[in-house]
Amino acid sequence: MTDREPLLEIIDLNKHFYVKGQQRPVRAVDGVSLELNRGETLSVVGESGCGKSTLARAALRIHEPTSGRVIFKGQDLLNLSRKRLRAKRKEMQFIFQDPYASLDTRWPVGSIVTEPLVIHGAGDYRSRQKKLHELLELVGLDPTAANRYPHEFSGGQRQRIGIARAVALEPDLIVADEPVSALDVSIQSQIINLLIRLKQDLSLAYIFITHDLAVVKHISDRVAVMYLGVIIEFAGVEELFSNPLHPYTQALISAIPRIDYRQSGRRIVLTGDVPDPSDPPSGCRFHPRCIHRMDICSQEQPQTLTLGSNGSWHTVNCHLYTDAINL
Amino acid sequence: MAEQKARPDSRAGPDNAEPLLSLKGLTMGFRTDEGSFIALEDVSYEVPKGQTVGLVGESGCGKSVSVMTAMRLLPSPPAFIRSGQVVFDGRDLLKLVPESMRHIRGNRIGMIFQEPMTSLNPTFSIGFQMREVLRIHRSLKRKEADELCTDMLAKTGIGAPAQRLKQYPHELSGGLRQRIMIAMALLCGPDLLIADEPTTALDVTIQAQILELLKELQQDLQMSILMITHDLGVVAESCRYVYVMYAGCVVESAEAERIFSEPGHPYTRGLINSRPRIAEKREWLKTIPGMVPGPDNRPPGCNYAERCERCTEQCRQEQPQFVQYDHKQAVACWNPYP
Repeated sequence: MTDREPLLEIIDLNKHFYVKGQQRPVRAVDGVSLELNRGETLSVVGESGCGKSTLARAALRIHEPTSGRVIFKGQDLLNLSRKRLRAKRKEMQFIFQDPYASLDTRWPVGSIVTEPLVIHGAGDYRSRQKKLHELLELVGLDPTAANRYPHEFSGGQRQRIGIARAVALEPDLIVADEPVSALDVSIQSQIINLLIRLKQDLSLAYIFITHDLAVVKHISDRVAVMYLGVIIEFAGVEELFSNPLHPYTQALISAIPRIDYRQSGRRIVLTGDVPDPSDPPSGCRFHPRCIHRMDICSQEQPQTLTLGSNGSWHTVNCHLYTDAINL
Repeated sequence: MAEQKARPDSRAGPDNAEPLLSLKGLTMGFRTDEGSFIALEDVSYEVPKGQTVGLVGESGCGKSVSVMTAMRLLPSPPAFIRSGQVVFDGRDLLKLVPESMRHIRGNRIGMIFQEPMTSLNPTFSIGFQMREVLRIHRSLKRKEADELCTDMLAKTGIGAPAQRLKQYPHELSGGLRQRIMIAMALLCGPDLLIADEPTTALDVTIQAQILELLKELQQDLQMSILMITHDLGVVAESCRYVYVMYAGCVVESAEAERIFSEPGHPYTRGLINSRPRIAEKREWLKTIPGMVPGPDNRPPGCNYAERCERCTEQCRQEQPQFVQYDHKQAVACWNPYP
């Protein structure tokens, strides 16, 4: 692990939803620990319903977590009062998946982008207008966009508007929840490049939530793989893609349809669906779909095992691995 | 490069297999309150017997509209057809009376749609919806129909098929629903399966299952598949021949292997290069500048001219002709990559 100062530390975070008429809670996020350094991109990958969005939302208290600790710049977010939390939110912003639903259709773009500045009382009207122009330029929109309405823009341009709004307060952390999956292929690459450029120019850290592993490989520094509310593997991006340890990660990586399919090797096709999170399988949650399943897998939940040293630091939750393995 | 040839010669399939479905110079559009516009311009493509052909393009390029027109699923008005033919097994579908069209739709041509959530009716059981297909196209007893349905569900890899018939769509996961859609489309043993973004709404591990399943079923049942998708990876893995569409036109057609190794059209090349790849590390992705022109403001020349890195004066003025490289590749471009 690097010795840079962590920006965000998530320690044993839980988010359980209690559903009416059901005894057991849905354990959407179940004992997750992660950390993120300044200026770093952490991707959380997994299939739909695995809890990746809930994890990010619980960490920033959009959904109130059930238990755990979230240390952001040395301060535990979960102990903050509502008011203090709101002030803290300046430093962490969201970019959402659906550029059609995440902008108010009745507001001109100028008001949408400057709303965070108004809420947090940053500057007067004139300085906000100046900032607005800088922001629009920064994300590659024409200054005349300020007076137009969201419906006049394409999906890619709307996502740029959402990004301008997110960086308006100069945050340290941006949570990007599937920011490109609703966009066309040729527009996706424009937005990904914009996100990378902003990260460099504004020294942002991203929590990048996606199911698209090709994008993850391109944009991330570290990757956490999530399955049914649990992080099952966490490693640097090169390490994870060249040496995936968990059978689920291996299957995920092999399942990506590739253009260079001649070199892609053998595909592991998983059987079955992601189980119901309100009634997860006993032991390792992946065991009913796992090709390497052993007796112990259905009985005991695997512990998080840290492997490798500084260079190839890697954690995995799987019974296949014991401390004896050296990477 | 071979000599220039007119468009209808762009024949799919490396071995010039006989086409089962062919669109020939289809030009159609929509009339709206704000005037009419052309959605498809002179679109031609072919699906040979027993092969999988891909139709690729971004949203709004007309790939879905072309099959909806071919299947006569678009109400007219607002849709209108200006010219062209849709030949299926020797007959022009556009000339058929609705009654004979109904014998083909769902019977000889099966369709699966992108959204398994919305294309099943939430108020009827799976069994009812599957039997409906057989009620329309086959006169079977209830028991026989049920047997056929369970067989087909089992064939698509669904466990406990007899129970599934009693269930409702909301009780099933996305992957299961898509399997049910596939089973339903295959009930009558169609010659052609049109799969419109069959895996887009699904997770990667489920997507891999469905693609694998389609491959197996195709071999078992000897049918043709027209795979509509925006995902080049899906094309690379499942199709033998590919048509690329852009803003209402087919801009390139080639063997799948060829199109990824030597794309001729700058748009095809741009699309392929703008995807990040697992196998290599690049700091910046290649991008295609600008956006797709809407159907109401397409330029007089090539539709891609504005965004193209190889654009010449001729490109802005004149629509490019389809150039046949050889039987493996054809490109509609004035200045293609060699």
